[in-house]
Amino acid sequence: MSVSHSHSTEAHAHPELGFLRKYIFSEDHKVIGIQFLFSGLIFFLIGGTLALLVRLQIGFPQGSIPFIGRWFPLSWGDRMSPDFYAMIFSMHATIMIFFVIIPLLTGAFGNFCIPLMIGARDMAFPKLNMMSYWFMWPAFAIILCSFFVDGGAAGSGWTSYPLLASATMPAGQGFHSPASPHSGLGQICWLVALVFVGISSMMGSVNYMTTIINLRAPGMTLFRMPLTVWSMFITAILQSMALPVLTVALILQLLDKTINTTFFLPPGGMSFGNQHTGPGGGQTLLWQHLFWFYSHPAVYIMILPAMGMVSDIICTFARKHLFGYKPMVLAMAGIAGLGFIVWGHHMFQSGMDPRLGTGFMLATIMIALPSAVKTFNWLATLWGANIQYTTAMLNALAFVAMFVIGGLSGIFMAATPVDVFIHDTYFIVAHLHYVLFMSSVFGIFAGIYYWYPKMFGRTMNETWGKVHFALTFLFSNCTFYPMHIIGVAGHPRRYYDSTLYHFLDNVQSLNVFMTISALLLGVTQIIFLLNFVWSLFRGTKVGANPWHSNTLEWAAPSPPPHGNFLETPIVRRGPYEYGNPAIEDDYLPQTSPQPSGVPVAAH
Amino acid sequence: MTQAVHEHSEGHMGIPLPTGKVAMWLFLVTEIMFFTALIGTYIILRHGTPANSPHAWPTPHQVHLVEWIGALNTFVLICSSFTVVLAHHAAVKGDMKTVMRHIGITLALGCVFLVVKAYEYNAKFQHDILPGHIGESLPYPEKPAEGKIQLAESQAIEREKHDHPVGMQYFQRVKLQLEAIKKSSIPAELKAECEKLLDDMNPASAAAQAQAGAFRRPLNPAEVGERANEILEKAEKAGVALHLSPAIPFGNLWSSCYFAMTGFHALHVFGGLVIFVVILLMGLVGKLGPQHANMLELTGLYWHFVDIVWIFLFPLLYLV
Amino acid sequence: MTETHDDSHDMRVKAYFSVFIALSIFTAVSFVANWAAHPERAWITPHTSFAIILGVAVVKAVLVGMIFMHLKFDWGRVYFVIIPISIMAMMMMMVLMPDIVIAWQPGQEPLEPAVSITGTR
Repeated sequence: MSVSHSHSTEAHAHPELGFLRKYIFSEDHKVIGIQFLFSGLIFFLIGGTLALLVRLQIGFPQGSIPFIGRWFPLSWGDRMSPDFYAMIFSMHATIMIFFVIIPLLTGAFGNFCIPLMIGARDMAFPKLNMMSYWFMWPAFAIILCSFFVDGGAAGSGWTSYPLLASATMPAGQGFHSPASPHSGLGQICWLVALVFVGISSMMGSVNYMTTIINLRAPGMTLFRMPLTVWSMFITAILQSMALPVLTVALILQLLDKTINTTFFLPPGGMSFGNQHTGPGGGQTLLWQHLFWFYSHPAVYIMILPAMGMVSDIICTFARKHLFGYKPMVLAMAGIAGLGFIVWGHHMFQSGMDPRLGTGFMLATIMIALPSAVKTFNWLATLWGANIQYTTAMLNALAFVAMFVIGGLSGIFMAATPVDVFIHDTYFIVAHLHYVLFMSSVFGIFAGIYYWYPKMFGRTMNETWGKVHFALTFLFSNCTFYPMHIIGVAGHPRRYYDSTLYHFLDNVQSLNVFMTISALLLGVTQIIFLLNFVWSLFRGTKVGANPWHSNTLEWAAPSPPPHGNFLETPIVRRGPYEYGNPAIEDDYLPQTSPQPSGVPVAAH
Repeated sequence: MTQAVHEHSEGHMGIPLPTGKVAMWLFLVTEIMFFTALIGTYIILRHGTPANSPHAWPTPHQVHLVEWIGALNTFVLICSSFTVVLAHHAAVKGDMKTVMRHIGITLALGCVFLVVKAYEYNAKFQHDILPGHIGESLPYPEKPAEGKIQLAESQAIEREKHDHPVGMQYFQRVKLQLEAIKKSSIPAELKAECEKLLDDMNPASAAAQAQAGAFRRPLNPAEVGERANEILEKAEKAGVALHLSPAIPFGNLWSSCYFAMTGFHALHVFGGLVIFVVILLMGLVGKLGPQHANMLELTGLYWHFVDIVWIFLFPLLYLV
Repeated sequence: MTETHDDSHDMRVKAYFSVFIALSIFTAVSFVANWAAHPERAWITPHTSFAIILGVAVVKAVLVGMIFMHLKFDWGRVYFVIIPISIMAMMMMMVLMPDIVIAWQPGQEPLEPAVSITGTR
């Protein structure tokens, strides 16, 4: 095509960019994807350290941690104070959700994979893409600085319910909250940082949707796209429609805290001992509605990209086509659509009309259906396949298995009568960690091991990868499975010292067991980090398609140059043509010419 | 936009719309959800106020909201929508002079909108209709109406303990304002009323009067609110701007909603004006041509969206 | 993308101008409806004026969308964006109603239980 040739000569005719424009303020989606990957992994370390602090407190409530007294004046000497503990678990959740999982899944893999997999040269708006990454940096700075401001970082849970989070003193008394020292400047930093994260994600989502709609290579119809791209597309739709509501909620709480608006302050205001906020007039419950209206689609934002990536990885290493391509796409769309009408299941205990609760319960239970369709399809894809147990495949298989467990515990919560019992217990914590750590994070690991050669031109070490996988799988199950048990026994979440309650005496040993497993889990991640960094410089160099995969990104060099493809790819078939007995190879890339004598596939 | 032109060659997958237009509509989706959340919040909060109580949602008159000014602003935005779509039309025809003229008029009309808005905001600042400043939930020992629930005595005491600080905050604020009014120059009759109110609020003077034999207790905050409202009515009739906090049930919530909604809308208007300035500058240096017709259409789409938001904000805030 | 036919051009300008006039008239209608329902005059009930005013707002928004934003011409290409967002926007506002608006407020009459707790009526 004359157009593509002129494009390729254009690519070579670009002036050579300086270091700053090539690697720091780059408009190339691959560089931006890798930037998101690096910052996401750094914050994974920070969030993980916070998690270990949480576990230390729960496992050894009377214990002390040496450096705390020196760095954090609000603690009880070297012991954590209850407020400090509240800050640690709130920031752990905030960082993991908004600075690790969403940036890694949508920012890193979305940016890197989408243009490559649809045959585009770059995203639709490269400058917007760059801004979407750099808008995260104010958020990074503010959220980290919030630990060191007066009063400490936010400590009202990642859910920041008013009035604990939002009540401020009447005008003229600074940003101190009478409810908690952690609801002062730290909470304001939290709100502002999340506004930046939201803006970054909204810019990214508009970019992804436009790219996928309009920039596909010739022949790449919507139903020939790999599931990774479909999942990123549906996730982008979720982000664009749900994030603005969170932004409004954050801004309303910010206004409540700074200029004495009364959105969440009940009529008559609120007394805190001798202190009193101003007159109120608002509705405290409104925050929960606005917050969960975003935060429920957010959990689907955190799982759908992993589902898409895992589908592609499973097909590549099972050397078999995906079972039920269209149902898989429709199931993802169904999960996303239903995800908009179930947010009330986080609020079953808020005193809502039981008839409203029934509606939410029905919709929540229905989400199990498309999720089950996907799980059965993965299993059917694996059935009778010639499975290659590479590290990426092991992580992907773990995703499927752990997602089943996480999903099953979700069904308990969906039923309102059961949820009334297990709400705010460790059963919820178990569920959320099974779907977030043991599904999304295994999905992220699978994606890293899989696409690392494409990103850096070298593979990670397979042996150490498998060691990392095995230990992570073992220790994460040891850490999070017993949470189901102690949760049903009545162990509440967010409690500073459960040894104060004698009905929990029998489960404290499980708490110690989980803490030790969590520490070992944390240490195991060092293997991954060493492998990652070492392989950047000393990993085995590979060519374009080390995994013999079909999708378009493997047709570009590793790593791909600016402009991705040497000439515009022409797509002739779907992405899952594996194991066709009529063909010599067990795979048939999307751009390969049709082999003679082989009938053309239906779609 | 040259990339968009290339993508329209044979084998173009996707919809036959320029990439920029797809992106703009998707961006408008996020903006629609943003304003839905804001307007939805307003609707919910407003209808969540107890409807049949004496404390219903403030009327426009109470909060110094003038309907015809809002209608004027609506008309200004409608005109600007008209001119911006004519600008795009002219760009398609290649008539860049007309484009510049129409964008200039749109910019001017947008500025008029913001100036009128600033005038309205100024009125709110003058009358202290600001979040947290309005007298509300002022404790008043009231007899429950026929057939309504009687509060137990302990509950009444609890409520008094709870409401009292709110009342005192308002009391102190009004006191400071009255003292400032004493030093200002306003018509003598009004000043006398203000001084009388200040006097009545002063426990010392009330005690002195009690000693003199004519018992008079100091005013409680609800009575202060009523008197302040009366004085403000008189001041308005006299055309005097008096900086005195009124007592309006749900006034703080009204004020919060008003500033949040119109504030964000005004920010979006301002963003549009920035884009118009950029377009005019491009035209002045001669860099604006028919190839920018697309860009003008996208600018128009954004501006029309801002207009539509106001079309809903105006009736919801001013009329119904 | 680019129209070259002059007739359709002039028709477009006519359409824009007609919509402009209609929008101005509708604005005046809603203002008058509000004025007529004012308690001093009460020529129409508040409910009627509410219906008129919001109906007018919806019509105005649709006109701006269809004609000024070219939706009438682009509908076949963007309907898949407009329809879901319209549903979402409506839904979001309606769903918040039960929990906050219709919910029982302190000071209201106590509610009758829908089902007798003891099983007898």
